[in-house]
Amino acid sequence: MRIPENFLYYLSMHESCTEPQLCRAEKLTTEDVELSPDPEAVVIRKMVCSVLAEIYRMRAFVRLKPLDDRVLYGYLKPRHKTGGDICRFFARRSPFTIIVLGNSLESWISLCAGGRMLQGNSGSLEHALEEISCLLGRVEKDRDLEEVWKVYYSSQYSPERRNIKAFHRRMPRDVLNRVDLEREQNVNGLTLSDFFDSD
Amino acid sequence: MVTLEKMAHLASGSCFDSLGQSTTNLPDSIYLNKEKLSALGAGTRYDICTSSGCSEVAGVCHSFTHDGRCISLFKTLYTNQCSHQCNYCTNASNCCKKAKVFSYSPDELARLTVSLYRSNYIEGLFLSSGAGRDEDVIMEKLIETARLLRNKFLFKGYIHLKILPGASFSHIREAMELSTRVSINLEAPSASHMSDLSSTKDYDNDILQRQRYVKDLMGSVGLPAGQTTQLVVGAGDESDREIFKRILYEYRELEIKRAYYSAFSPQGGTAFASKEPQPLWREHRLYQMDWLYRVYHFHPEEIEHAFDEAGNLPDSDPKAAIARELINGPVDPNAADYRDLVRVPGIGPISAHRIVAFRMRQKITRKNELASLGVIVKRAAPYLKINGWRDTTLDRWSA
Repeated sequence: MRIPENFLYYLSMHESCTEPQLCRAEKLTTEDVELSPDPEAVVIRKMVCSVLAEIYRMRAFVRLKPLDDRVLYGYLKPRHKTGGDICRFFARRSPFTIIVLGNSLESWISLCAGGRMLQGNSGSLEHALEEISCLLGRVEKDRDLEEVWKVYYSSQYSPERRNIKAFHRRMPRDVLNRVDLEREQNVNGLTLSDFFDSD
Repeated sequence: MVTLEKMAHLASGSCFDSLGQSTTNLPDSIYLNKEKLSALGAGTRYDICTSSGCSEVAGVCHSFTHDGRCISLFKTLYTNQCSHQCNYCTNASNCCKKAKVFSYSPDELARLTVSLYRSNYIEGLFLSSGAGRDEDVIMEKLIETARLLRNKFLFKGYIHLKILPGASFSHIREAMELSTRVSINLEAPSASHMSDLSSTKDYDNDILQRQRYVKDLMGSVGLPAGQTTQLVVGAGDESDREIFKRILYEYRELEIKRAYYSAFSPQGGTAFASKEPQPLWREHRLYQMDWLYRVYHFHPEEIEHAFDEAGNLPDSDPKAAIARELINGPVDPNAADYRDLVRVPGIGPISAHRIVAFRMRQKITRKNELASLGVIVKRAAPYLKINGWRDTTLDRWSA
């Protein structure tokens, strides 16, 4: 079964979820949402799956850069209200490190320390990073790993297995834009435009 | 909600609390020696792996190559120097087009892995290696890398270590204590096929015996994602049936978690450079066969129906071939048990479970109800009887 027990949590994150819809969904069981052919249950199922898919992909594709050795930050512009959840995921993955995710409009900040999850919001990503830099006092920017990653990524390319349709299906352009990942794929003399034009 | 000031204070005051030694300082050698990074990365291009089998730290694809394959692990060789004479491998000592020899140091590799992990490029490390001049020395280096990751950098991510052919029992134990998964490549389905592939590897002693060690240690050491193996498909002119029989032995007797198949592709400078490449569809059909056994729980005797007279899988869906042989009449989704449902093409384990759960609530009366449960109706319809109505007869369908 693909619908989780706490599906209401995910439904509430959907960009177009309303209070009345949430109230109606409370009366449904997980099995109703998973199996019922009722049109409203089908809509709720699609909404929950859409949120779950976004969380999965953003957790996979967001790239974090070090700002000092206690802060990691990355670009994120989710379609649904998933920013806080994704930020907390990275905070749990790197305890005692401040995680800052965001874009030009909003940002999410989390820190997992001593078993507690601390979280906050700020304005733009740039603004949040400036604020943190001021508070930490000393910020020695580490070198960007992007170049190292590009070399490694290129080394995994097997020309005889080239399958652009599979690549395109698994890394949709919309998702790449939401995490500013377009550059990563610009290797082996190819650009994303090459892939999309060829389809 | 807390203030940023509080977070900054906590983060500053907790240096070394959880991350072990500061990890973000990568040695300059990584930035300067991109040739090494590329050569040792390329050395694992034909090694197939996923970060699966362990729910805590696995299962996320962080990128995809241009062939659509998932990149979840930093997959690299420790060194591309090798004393083995494998006719398909560019790192082999008998390869006449030798690449420049590179090696990491355990510390360098551990720092690089942690940096890539923290920046969310990867979920963990897949570490393989050439055998170097002395297999024991290289095996120790692989273990040392894993030890640094776990003990010095307190790395919680996924570690998949390759066990080198002929590795000692004590090395295998140490590797298992530090890893999430270990693997030993079979490469071929039998000793005779292995002798075609390599003159230096002893199939029974170097490979099967080491797999038995892993199996025997599993009870006492534990290994969250178990052991796996990989075969080079078509390099030794073996049939698919021979591969299937070997894999059955691996699953049943050695309790491997899963097998990977890599279609042979000739490499310049190797003894097999002029050998014909294997079609990628052969690899795909072997994975389907493997899936039918491992996930769908088909009996081996049922899977036998998918092979042709020469013992190979044709380039068509093996499940459909088995269904044509074994499904004698239309299957009623309202009455059939899980076992019968999952044998219908277009119905997988998840949709079969959903059908069983759905029909306890209400009867299935329309094809679009099946579609909403995940059934590929176009493929399943010829085998189904829904509400007393059949799409087409099996006789017509197979004609």
